[in-house]
Amino acid sequence: MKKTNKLFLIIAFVFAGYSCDITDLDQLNSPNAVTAENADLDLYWNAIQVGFSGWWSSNQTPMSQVARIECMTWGSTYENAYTPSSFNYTWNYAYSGLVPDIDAMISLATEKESWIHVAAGKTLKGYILQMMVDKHGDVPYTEAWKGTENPQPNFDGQASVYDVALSLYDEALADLGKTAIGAPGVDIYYGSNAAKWTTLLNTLKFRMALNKGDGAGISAALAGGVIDAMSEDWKFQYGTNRSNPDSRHPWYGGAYEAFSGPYLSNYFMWEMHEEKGIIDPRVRYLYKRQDLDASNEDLFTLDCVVTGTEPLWYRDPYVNAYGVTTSWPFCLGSNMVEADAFNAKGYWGRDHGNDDGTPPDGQKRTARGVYPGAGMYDDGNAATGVFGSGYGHTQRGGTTGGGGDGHMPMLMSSHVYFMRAEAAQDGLSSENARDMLEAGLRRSIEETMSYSAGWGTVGDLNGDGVGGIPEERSINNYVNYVLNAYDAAADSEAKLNIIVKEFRLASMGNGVEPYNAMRRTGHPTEMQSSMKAASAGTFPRLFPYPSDVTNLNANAPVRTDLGEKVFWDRAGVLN
Amino acid sequence: MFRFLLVSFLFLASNVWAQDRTITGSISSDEDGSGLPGVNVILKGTTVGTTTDVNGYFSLGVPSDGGTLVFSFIGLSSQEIEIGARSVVDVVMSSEVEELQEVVVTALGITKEKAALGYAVTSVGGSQLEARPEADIARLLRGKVPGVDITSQSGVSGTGTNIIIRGYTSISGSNQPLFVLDGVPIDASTYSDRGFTQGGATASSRFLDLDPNNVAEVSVLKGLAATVLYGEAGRNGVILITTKTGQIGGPASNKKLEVSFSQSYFVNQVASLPNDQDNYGNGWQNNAAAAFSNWGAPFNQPNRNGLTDGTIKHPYDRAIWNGVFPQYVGARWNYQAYDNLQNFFVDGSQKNTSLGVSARIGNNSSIKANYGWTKDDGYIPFNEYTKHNFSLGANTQLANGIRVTASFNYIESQAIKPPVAPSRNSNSTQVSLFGNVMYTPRSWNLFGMEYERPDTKGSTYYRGNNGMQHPLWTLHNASDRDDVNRFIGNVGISYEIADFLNLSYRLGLDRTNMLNNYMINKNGVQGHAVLGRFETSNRNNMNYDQTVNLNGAVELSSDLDFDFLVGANLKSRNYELSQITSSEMFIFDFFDHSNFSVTTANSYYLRENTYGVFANMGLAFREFAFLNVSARNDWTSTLEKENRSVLYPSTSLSVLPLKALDISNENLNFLKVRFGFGTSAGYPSPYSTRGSLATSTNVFKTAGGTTLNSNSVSSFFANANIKPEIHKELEFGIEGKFLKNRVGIDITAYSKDSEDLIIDLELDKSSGYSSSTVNSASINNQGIEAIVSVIPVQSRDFTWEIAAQFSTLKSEVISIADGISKVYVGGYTGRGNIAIPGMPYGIMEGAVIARDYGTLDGLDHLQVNSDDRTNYTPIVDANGGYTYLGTGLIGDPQPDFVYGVTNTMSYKWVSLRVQFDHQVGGDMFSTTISTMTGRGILGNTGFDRFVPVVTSGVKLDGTVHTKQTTANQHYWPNTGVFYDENSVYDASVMRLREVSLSLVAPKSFLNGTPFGNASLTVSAQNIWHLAYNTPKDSRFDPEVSSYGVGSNVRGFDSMTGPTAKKYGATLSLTF
Repeated sequence: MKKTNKLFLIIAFVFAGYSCDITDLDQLNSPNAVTAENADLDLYWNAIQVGFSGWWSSNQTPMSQVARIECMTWGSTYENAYTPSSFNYTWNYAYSGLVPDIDAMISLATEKESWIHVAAGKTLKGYILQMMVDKHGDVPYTEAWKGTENPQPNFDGQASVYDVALSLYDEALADLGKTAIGAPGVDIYYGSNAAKWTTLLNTLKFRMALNKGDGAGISAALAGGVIDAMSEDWKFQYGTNRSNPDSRHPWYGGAYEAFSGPYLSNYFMWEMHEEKGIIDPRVRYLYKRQDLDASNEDLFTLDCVVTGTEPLWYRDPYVNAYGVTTSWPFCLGSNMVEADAFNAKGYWGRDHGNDDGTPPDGQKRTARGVYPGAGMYDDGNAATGVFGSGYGHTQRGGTTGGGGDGHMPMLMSSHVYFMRAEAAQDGLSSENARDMLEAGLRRSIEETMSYSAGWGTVGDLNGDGVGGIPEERSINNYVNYVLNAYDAAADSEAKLNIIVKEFRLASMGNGVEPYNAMRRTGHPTEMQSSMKAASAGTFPRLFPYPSDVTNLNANAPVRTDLGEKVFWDRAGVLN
Repeated sequence: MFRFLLVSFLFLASNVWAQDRTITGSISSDEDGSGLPGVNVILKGTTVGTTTDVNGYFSLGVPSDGGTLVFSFIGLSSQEIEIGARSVVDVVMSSEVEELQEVVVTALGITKEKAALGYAVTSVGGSQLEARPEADIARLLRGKVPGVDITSQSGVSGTGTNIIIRGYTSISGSNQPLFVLDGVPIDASTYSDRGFTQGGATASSRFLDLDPNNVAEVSVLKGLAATVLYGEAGRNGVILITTKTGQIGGPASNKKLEVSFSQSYFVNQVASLPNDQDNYGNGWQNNAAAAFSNWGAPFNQPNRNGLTDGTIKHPYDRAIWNGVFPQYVGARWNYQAYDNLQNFFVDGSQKNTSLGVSARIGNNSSIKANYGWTKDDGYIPFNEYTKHNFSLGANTQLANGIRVTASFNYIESQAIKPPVAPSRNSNSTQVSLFGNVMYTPRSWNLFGMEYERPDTKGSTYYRGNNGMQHPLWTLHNASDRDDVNRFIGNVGISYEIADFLNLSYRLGLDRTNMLNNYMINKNGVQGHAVLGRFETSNRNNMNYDQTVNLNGAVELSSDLDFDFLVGANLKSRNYELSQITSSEMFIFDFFDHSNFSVTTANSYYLRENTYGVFANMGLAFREFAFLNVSARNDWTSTLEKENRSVLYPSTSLSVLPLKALDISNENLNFLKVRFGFGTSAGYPSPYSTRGSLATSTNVFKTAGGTTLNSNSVSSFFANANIKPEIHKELEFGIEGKFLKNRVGIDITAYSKDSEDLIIDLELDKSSGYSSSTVNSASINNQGIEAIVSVIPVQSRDFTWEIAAQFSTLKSEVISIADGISKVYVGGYTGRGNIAIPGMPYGIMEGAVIARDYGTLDGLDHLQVNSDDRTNYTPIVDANGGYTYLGTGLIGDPQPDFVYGVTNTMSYKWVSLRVQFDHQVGGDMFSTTISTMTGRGILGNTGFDRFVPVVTSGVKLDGTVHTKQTTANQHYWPNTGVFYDENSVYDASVMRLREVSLSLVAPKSFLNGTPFGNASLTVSAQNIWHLAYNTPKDSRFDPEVSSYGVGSNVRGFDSMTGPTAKKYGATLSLTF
């Protein structure tokens, strides 16, 4: 009996006196993460500035598609292509990613009086709020960001959210005027330059006033000084690091690793390549053909090589923005009805609303070029069939072209010139619309050509089999063609039509500004319609609310009519 | 012994009859053929009799006119045999079917008389698990226990198995049962380094480590009334496994020394392959081309449709390959049907060796040891699972009333599996072996086409852009390997304080070390194979479990017995994970992290402790009414202090009416009515209640070369107020035995309410957060389980026994959270299982097509049931293609009911066992079927494709669609390749789960040999199945789960591997 008592004493000891690791019930703080007290100002800013570019890019994609800069391939009608679930990411990341980080940064930076942090945070927050309104209309603001305290916030009126954004811009301007200013260690946008941030804020105010048709606001903003130099361009500059982290332009990884990028817009390529009869000086920068001759394809890869398969409505001639009667391109960036396949010279993308499956054409369809994703400059010679750089396709494991250190063109001086041209043409400012149009055209070409270093030397730009970067005369030919058409245009609306059309052509990589311009002006009036359906349905004047929001928030409105307009939309019919 | 003396006494005291002749014979047991000593042999109607000797022989004088001999022995069925003219009467005696004294193992290893239990417990004996062609004990339980749903990832060796008992109760948490090995809870989790979309679906469940050949018995505790003493851990049911080495007593315990040996060899094959059509090859619109699809040229028109003399251009005669494969410049390829699937799968094999020793040392100690070796080569090359199980058990009874027991298991295993990721209808985005195999076009010969470039060893295949990975390249260049070292042991000490009171303590330890290597060579074309990938992880999981019990029993009066148990339990879990992920391989086929340009690493640490105290009290009234009351209180480390404690009571009652009313009738042998109520709880995963800062390193490297790090506000809203979730269950049952115990039934009905369920609630991000953990949802599960056993024939040499089991389950999500219409349970968003109030748990959601629903909303399940969709006419576009409507319900994976019938026929020393299972109802989303149909491979697409078809449907304007399209144009978009709704099939399936034929050598045969027992068992698993509502040519087996196991996903097949069938033989010997 004595023995057993001892035994159980030992057991009791083992049970109770074990190291507290296995007995302690206080295991509530995760050993795998740190707490919010450890947060650092610059580390917040890094999360914001890097996250913002990807978010911005996702926002511009559907806008580029409805502006026919990119190709709508997700569906044959707008309703099919732009389903509520396709807007989850941009909404969710804005509300639960960017803004909470911005708010946390502003609060910490205000405490530390680091005013460029504060101003940059307010600038981006204002832009985000404006983007949400421009894209979806009414959005939550007053009741947002309250966690489970208010998990289903009510929505605020769109104009009132615009006012909030404007006041954020004004506060940011005031913050930038403060002395003893602290700044982020790395500011990819403006290198912590307060003057450039100030110019951006003035431009954002100009942009907002233009949306609202507010002439006084436009004049005030212009007086403050808007982005007019390339050094002031608001863009996100990517690097060349391939992995951990992949810091390259997302378009580069999409087309220059092992996969093919998206189908590019045939209509846009045709506009640049054929519509004017003059080749756009930018076309070799924007597009890299992987196949110089699309005429030798079969039904499987390119079903339109059989003539007569185009939709009937493609055959109707129409008068284009420049006053020329023409008809729509089909199947390639060339008009298969008017000319033979050879003229397509490999500008091989997809038509608006072509949602077919994917044949094995990843190494044949046209890829994104050197601008703005820093891929390859197209120096192929269609006459000889020789790819100048020796590469027949782009899928070379990320080893070719510019290596991906391109940029996201969020708000470029060229865009601003076109907006100023539009404002002047619309009577909202006293500037000269024609001058602004010319400045926008030349700036856009200059900016695109700034990516030529090292690559743009042998391209066959004039279609004469001789390569070379665009010569001054080619650029002048192009600018003069547009300005002559502008001068010849019958009325202000026709002139505005040319301005917005050229605005579009200068906006590769930025669908936000052309989409807004379309909703302000109703131009361009001629746009290719869906290939699969005579009508692509109601043009999305606002995009649907994301499915996550309508599923999770009983107070969220449901958008059943894509024709609902944002409060400042004053355009007529859009298709 | 008492009987023996009594009978002997009677015998001696009886009158001496005229003994005209002497009858001799032997009495043997039907279980092992051994002679039975002490059996009473009496001449009916007289007092003449004898008993058998120690070897089971008897000799008895009887009158010349014979008579009838009555053989009886306690616990065995009495037999009456006419002597007739015989002089030798040999009798085989079998156990009485009526086993009133049957004891079963219940919670905490307490053995109870089955009659006293107020809840259902199903036991499966070791004989039904050993010598079977399956290394996974859970898969062996399929169809043997009603109410237990067992699915597996695929038939690939070493993949995971999912066990769900009485339905899913938790939305965000695990629904896997607790495994208890020799009294100690063990870790049965499924660890995966990557999500199923990344190829993590093959992860195996850690009960795979157990050796089925060393199992003495499995008891399944299904209801909460049965599992309450395990507390929270037992909420999903408990599987109690007693190993042969951990078993105290047992068949060989009275033998001085016994050595047992068994050796098995099984063939492992793919269970079924689809029938493919032989008329058309690769291409599109009846033209030969290097497409994904098989809508190409007919084989019987060799000079048309893109063919020249029945050939096409060799796929490697391409400008970019000409330097690499100069031999194919200008070469042609014979465009004909090749057998690819048939040759891709090979005959694998499974070998098991098991060696056991059991010895009694002195009178009070025994020791047992077992070694098991399993090598399971899968149905594809390089797939193998190897396992070594070492087990040791010992117990000793000391003179001072102390009893010491110990049981140790050491397991070492290695599984090498191909990576699989769900594949819908074309290239999987991640490396996945089966995706590109299943729909290999008929006109390409996988084995006649180099899979790698001679220069870079990169993948080559027929596709023009080389964007598709050759399946053989994947097979040779990618693998996923698990190495497990595991120790499970326990030591118990018990002390008999008084003859009615016992104190015991047990320490259990379960330590698992698991290494995973995910290796993908570079120069492939799919996902990680482009740059090469090497991911390694090292897991250490340590579970301690300590229990102290005081139990006793006293007789309160002659009518009332009382037993009780009080105890305490401490459970601790320590889990550590470190992972290294490398990409951008440098030297080909060299897997060392230093051979990769980019390496990232991370680690994770988890600690969880639970205290429990419990009490159990039983009252037995005159052996016909039994009341049991239990309660347990737990304190967990995963919740804030104020919510930490939870009490779960349970009670159960068992009444034997026949005994109570003293009814005795040979056709009404036994009746029991039982009732149970139990509760349990569930805790959130650790660290759910406190927030943290999200930090990341290396988020961006600027053009200037500066590397940026970041921190962010966590998008997870930590909820400090989470409480345990609560489960309550009512159970009612009837058991009976009739017609001389030839017919038995056991029926259970239950209803389980799960409330305050902890869900990871996705929030509207406008709240600033993406999710939070809340106590919100509630679910009800109701079901019926039945076991029916019938013995149509029972004679001396021949017995035929039918055992059938049936179960049905209906679940309903009662509520989620206010304003929330659904939560995701598993799978993809928009193609997975969800919970919606008013609908069964885990109903399937996916893309549905527009149909002429009139005024009804086709996406609202309250207006259109997913089963009724086909009653509405599809709306088709101008080309006859279905059109997209939105995301809606597409099916319910839960079967209507399942049943299984096992026939066992024994004739002398031969017995045949046939287990047939049938699942009725339940839906399955299968891309295997839809892709093979949509891509024109399946046999039923071999029709004349030049005949135009008209898709039946209405146009957008409501008029009937009449435009003709090609077969290609109809099948491609309309058979499920485009829309999930069209990929859903009824998964009803009939199956021959198991067939086995055992030959047990009779004792007489072994006389003079060193063998005590010898048997040969020929058995087969899953040799036939028929999913009769799926397309016939698909020959599909729905018993797969492509999104992996251990999650709460069910009903999705995305080409991650078919099931397997195995057949072979086992030789067992004892010395």
